[in-house]
Amino acid sequence: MLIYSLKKILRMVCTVFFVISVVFIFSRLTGDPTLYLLSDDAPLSARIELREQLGLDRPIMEQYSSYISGLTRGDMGTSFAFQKPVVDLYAEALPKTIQLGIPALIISVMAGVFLGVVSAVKKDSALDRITMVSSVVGYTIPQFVLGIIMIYVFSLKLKLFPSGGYGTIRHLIMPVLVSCFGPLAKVSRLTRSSMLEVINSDFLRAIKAKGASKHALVFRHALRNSLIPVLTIVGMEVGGIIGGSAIIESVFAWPGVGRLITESAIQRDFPVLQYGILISAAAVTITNTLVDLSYAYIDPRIRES
Amino acid sequence: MKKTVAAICVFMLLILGACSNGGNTKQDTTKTEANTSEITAGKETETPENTDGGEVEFFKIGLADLPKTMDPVQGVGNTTLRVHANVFETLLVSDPLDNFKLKPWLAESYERVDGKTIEFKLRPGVKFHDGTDLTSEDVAFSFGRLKDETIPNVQDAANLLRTIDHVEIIDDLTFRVVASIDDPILEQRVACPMGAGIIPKAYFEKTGIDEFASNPIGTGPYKVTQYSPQRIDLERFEDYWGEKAIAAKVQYLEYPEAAARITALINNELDLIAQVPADQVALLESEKSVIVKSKPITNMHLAVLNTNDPVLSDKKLRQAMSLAVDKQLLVDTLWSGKAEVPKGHQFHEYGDLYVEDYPAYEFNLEKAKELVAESNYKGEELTYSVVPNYYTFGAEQAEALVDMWHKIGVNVKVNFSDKKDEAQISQWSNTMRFPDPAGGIWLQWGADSGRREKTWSSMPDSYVELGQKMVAEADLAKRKELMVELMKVWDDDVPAIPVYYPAENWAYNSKYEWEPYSNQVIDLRANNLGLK
Repeated sequence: MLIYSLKKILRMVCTVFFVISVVFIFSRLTGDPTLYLLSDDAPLSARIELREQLGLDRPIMEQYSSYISGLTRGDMGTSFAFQKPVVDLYAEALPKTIQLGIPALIISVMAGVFLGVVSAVKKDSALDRITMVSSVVGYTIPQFVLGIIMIYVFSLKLKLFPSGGYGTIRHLIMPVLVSCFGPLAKVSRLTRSSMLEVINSDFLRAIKAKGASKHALVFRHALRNSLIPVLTIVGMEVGGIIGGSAIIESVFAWPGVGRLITESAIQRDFPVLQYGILISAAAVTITNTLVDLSYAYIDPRIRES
Repeated sequence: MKKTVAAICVFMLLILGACSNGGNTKQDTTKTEANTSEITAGKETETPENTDGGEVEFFKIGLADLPKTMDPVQGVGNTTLRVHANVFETLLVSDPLDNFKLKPWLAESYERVDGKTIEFKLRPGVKFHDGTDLTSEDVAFSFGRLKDETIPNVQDAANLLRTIDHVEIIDDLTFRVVASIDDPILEQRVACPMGAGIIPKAYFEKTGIDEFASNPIGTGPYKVTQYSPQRIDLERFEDYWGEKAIAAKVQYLEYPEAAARITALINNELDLIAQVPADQVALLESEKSVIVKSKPITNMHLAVLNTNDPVLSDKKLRQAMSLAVDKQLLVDTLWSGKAEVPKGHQFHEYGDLYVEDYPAYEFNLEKAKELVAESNYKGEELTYSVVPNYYTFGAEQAEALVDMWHKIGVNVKVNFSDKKDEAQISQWSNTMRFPDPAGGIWLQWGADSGRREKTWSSMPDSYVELGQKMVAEADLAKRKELMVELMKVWDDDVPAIPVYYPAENWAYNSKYEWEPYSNQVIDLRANNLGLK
């Protein structure tokens, strides 16, 4: 188990390193930041001066090595556009993104697993059909459409929630609901299909024959055996949380990291983009490693192999 | 199973309970971590409580984007103007409420010494937000920064104030601004709301440029208490030299989505919004609690024709392309008549220098076709480069222009990219920086503007001579004559097609009285923002 864990952690570090290296090199191929930082009519001398100031005149490998050596010293760089340490920019935005993402994840996982289990157990019932149709809607409806519909209904017409902004728990409700709609649909569909597969398996029939209660059958045996694919999805969703959702943040004027990352990509603000990708990649890989390790806990066969 | 269902029900009830907690806004606000977040919190439907004896506690403004810096010399642009104008002030002001007439502001009085020099006397008792007094040293320091080429993005501000050579300090409140050449519009330059704001030397030297760009200090009616990319908090400066502004706290919030911005205004979550899309104006006008104001702004949208391109180097082709554009149709259809077709490259805000009877741009398809036939154009495909979502109706305008050009047999395709390509035809806008042709046509299309290098290598010598004479001419009537001649040469050579002055739409809560400015400054001073 120790070697299994160490391998996973080593793979995680390599993945993050690979991702940030790719982003570093490829982002520099997308355009000269001085074209975005300076006005259209800025003279060439000003562009050259700024490139020197930002260190963009140096060979790309030299820039890369100083970036990596900065990372090892904890220096994440300074934003080209805001002239602020990127850590300060994310220190403001990240807690707000997490504040939005964690409740969305909890709701989507809890409600998704619950609905998936109920649908599987009550297969072909009205509840099953309603859940599955709703999940198709949830899966396909774009977040910005849902967001604008919710603003129209709950904010403009019913005056229940503020249309956007950040501050109180009331500001949180609509963006959280919109954020969890898609993942909830995914989790519920996956849980249902996974549960159905297990419910129809021989081992479950054997347990049933032993006289196990329905509760024990569903939760101790069927659900536990159905969780691996669900956990995989949850692991991927956590990465989405840290990366934020630029769409939801734009629709609800939520000051999170999603907009920061998107705008930094548009503005070629490489340090902000790199740090955003770094923390997002780290979140995805750490969660996936934890998910992998939890597979071993859930399924002893993986642990033993 | 029952336990699980019960647990989920309890969880859902907790969420629903959280919703109803919103009614108790005071409790909610105490839970938020930032000390200023209570401004955002729970005030959505409580505007009546927001007022107290002609004052308001909070005034919230929703904008599509916020400035990336709070340093006045680094942030030249419309985005910064909307915020900076309430924090920084200039020696003189071109009063937008009085046809851009020059008036003393931080300077109590001023006098021309000669063609190059103006002597200013500062208003006594003006304080910066840190409580220190404004002195001549601060003015000398602020203008001196424009020469510092190590400041990122200083070029725009430096260009606007480029004739200022140095400041001669006479005493704490008296100094002379000396230009490098005879400059008849030196007064306009020091009144420019972009780049000419006065900042405190001592504070800047203590904080350094990066810290200053986030925590700036000026002399304006509001001081910055928090700056972040998506939110800026201001607090009324109680020692302000002028009349006290009505709002104790101001918050600028970034609302990138127009629909969210509009809903927030209707719901009283915001007090003022800018950048209202034209198709949403009617919706907002139907709301009793909202006032919408629209006006053409000091900006002109153009289609730049690169005369360096082998095809577009043909003047007859460029003239034909200009004649084929039905500008009024675009104004009526895209802008619902709220934009305006320019008469020459000039702005109404020039005041006495504006030429009312300058001929309007002609729309004449027959003449255009004749010119195309006379030109060397052989049906080559041209590219119109457009950055999507950069200019309001930019994409629509480009598609319409391409269609209009097709009607005279000129084959153009639109190319959307995230950075415009000026190789052939490109979309651009010219903002009037100060109310004078030197802050308009000659700033953007002058001999030193970079246009010659980029898209107009055939800039006629006569144009350059006229421009140089015009900027040096102090006599208003002669200056105006020279400007007319300059515009005629420009229009004849067609280095670009002026399409319209775009309109900006602002909307605000009807309990206020407020006036938008055509230069897009959002002025929250007592003389411009009040309660009804």
